[in-house]
Amino acid sequence: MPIISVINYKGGVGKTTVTANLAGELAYRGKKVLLLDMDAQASLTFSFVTPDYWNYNLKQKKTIKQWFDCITNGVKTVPLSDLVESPSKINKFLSKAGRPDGVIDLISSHLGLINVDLELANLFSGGTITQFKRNYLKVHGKLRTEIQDVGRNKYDVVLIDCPPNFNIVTKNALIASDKILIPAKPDYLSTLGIDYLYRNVQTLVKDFNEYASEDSDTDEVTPEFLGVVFTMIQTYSGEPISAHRQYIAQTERLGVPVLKSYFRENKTIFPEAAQNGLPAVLNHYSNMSHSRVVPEIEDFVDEFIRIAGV
Amino acid sequence: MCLTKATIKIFEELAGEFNSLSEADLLQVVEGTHELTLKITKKKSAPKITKGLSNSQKDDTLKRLQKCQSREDGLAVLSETFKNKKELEQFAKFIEVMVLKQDKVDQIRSKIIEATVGAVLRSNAIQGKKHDTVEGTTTELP
Repeated sequence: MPIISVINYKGGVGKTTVTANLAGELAYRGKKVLLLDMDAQASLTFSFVTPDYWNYNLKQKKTIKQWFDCITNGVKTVPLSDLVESPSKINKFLSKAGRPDGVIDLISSHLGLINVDLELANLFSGGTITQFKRNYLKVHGKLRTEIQDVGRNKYDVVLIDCPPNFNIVTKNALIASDKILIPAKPDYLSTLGIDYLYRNVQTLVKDFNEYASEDSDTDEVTPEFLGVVFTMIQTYSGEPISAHRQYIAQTERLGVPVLKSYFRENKTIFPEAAQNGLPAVLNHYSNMSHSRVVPEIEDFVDEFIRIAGV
Repeated sequence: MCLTKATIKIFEELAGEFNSLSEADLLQVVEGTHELTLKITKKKSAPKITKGLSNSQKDDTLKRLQKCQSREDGLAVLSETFKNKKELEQFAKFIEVMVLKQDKVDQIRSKIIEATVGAVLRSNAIQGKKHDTVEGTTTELP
């Protein structure tokens, strides 16, 4: 059961769109998918449940914030399985579509997750170096063990939608991950975000493994970069426009693995799909420009399955 | 081509164009509502005059650029390799760098450098690495 983080330092590059559509198509192919929304904006959460449903049914007891609150309060963490919600619309759709094996479960985010980082950072203040290292491993490494526990024998893949920063919550997600998928727009600033991410992940892994090597209870981690999937691509004659090809080629020349498939730009269907609670890939569009989106996402999922070993 | 041969060829072309006119077209000319005009346009399939660089030459240039330590070194490679704007444009296209028709030679050079040497320098700067020209590899700074 691979645990895969979807992240880019740059915001607005389509992380949530990639995660939601990947999950939707994998479930449609009969996979059991657990989604973990770690972004305080909760965009992935609101792509599967409405904000009012979240407010009445999930906000108080079924979000990832409740789990982090246990860490900051120094109490036993609530089992992740208690936080799992099965969004009804998507799962009913899968059932009606004759895909009863396919499942999407979700651990929701919380708008207050943004404050959790400050509280977690307090755990590092004071104490000896040994205490600091122990707290560091506890704060950064616990999510990994617990995701493995909740996912074992129940899910085929866990997808984590990460926030566009490198705070402690994000580090938790990356330490928990086997692989990292990077959505990026083919432009100057988004591709710089890839370099920021590489650097910080390498430093994080180095520090974590250094401390883990001194702790018999903690295993070292080796999150692997799956590659970059380019998003918001504009096409001409069936291929990305030259302004976009330039950044794709440049990224490849830097030795970064780049997926052959991509997400094309569409300002209509992706926002609509999120509002409707069903990823775009699961819709059948009659409009020519809309209908091209679906097979391209299916191609992406084919490639993802191949390289991620799902 | 001598003048006689050229004249024959032109008349053959005219005859061909005349034959492509329909009866209705000819009637409109006879009635005076339309007129015949001659316009010489360049054929789309006209043979290219410049031969350009081979793909292996372009590959070599790209490899040389990727080993450059500075933008200035890269510009020197471009200056000694490409003789004119056409060759620079061909190379830009080869490495997927977008060039506009109105771009001047200096702008094309700059775009090529930013997409090659510049990209490596930016990436290394962000990742805290320095570029080693001799080995063509990067090493991490302390």
